[in-house]
Amino acid sequence: MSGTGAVWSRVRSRIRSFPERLATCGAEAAAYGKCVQAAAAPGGELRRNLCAKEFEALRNCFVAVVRVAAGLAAASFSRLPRAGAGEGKGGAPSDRALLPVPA
Amino acid sequence: MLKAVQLRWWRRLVLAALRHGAGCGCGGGGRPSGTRGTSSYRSAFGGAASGAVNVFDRVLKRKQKNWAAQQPEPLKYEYLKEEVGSRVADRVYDIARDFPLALDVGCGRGYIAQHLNKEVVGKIFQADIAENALKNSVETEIPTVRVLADEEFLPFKENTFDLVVSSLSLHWVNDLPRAFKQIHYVLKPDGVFIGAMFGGDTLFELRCSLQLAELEREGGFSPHISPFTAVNDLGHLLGRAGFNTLTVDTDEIQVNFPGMFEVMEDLQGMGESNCSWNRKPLLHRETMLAAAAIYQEMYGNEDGSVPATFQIYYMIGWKYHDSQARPAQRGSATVSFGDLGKINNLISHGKK
Repeated sequence: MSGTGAVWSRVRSRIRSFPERLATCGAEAAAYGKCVQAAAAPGGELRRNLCAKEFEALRNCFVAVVRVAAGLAAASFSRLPRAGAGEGKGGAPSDRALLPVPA
Repeated sequence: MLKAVQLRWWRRLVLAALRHGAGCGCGGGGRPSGTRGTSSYRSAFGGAASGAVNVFDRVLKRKQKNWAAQQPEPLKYEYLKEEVGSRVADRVYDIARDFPLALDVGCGRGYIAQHLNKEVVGKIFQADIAENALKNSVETEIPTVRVLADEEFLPFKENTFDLVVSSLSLHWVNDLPRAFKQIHYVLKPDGVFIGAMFGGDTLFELRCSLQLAELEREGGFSPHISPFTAVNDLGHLLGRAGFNTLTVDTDEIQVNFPGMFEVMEDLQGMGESNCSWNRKPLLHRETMLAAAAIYQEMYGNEDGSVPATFQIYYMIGWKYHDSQARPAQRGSATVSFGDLGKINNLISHGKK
């Protein structure tokens, strides 16, 4: 929140797309949530990457949501190369840069 | 209480007494609550810095509150403060007295004064650390003086005010015992302090979701929600500050949101972003995504919304005055507890 605020507004605009993407990926999110909830219950053991498979599915769904401008409902594509699938204005660059691969 | 945006700078201080919720027993529906440890309550009023606790970055909090107050639509985010402000004003009305001079500590945009009228409160001083909040304050019919002051360093003389109110700002104070002692100091004898602050169970859903997500994604977790005072500690603190006739009651407000991201956005809009020194400056997007999924699954309602719980402690404390009722002397009882069964007879005898 300093200088021109360019970085902040860019980050903010990306984050603003998260809720609708998450809504589109409801099933994967529920699967991931159930996995973590089961591990966190008494008797389970939650460690790093325990639910990695479900999270991968969620992440793929999340990234593949193409943001269409003018408020139309987001359409979910299977993972296609960005150049071919880009329909939304400015949807391509932000999607590619969305989620870094975990180290 | 939450910082989701990457900061350009962060400092890490070694903190003498900081603790947060120990693990997350969320599976069985338990609620882990971060509490402040009692070892920090040793600093006396005006005492040396060696006992001082430095949990929150007050300069950053001031910036956050300034930013929140200069937003184009502050009312969009401040519904919670409006609601609690009106409840505190209700408690002021409940006291059958009028107060010529009152002080609002950490007033924000002035949510309490707008519900009070000139008969009950003659003049009110509104003190806050954020100048934008004072500049954009809400209209009220009571004559107001706005003071830029920190809750821990009130610039008033002893025995000045009949009433001191505080709504939802004391949870960002570094040295809470000192703040209470200051409030006690500026109160007149037979003056009253009515306060509201966030309590132990506030935002436990968010706390839990973030902890689980960070554990699963990153292998460890750091606190993203600030530690809240427990209700027992609150009573002790008020007693040690010198208040009499304490009343602490708790209220839970549950607000439903579409999802976790809206919760975080509203918290930032309220000026309640995290400002503790030990906060992690970066929250990974994957962790945010994971936490949102967990939040939805563990706490979601049937209609798809998620609840966020805010637990509010309301406290009322009086400054000592001779006219106040005191506990009776030992041995001054006239009736025995053993006669409780015959209480009807005793009452009818008394009437005759």
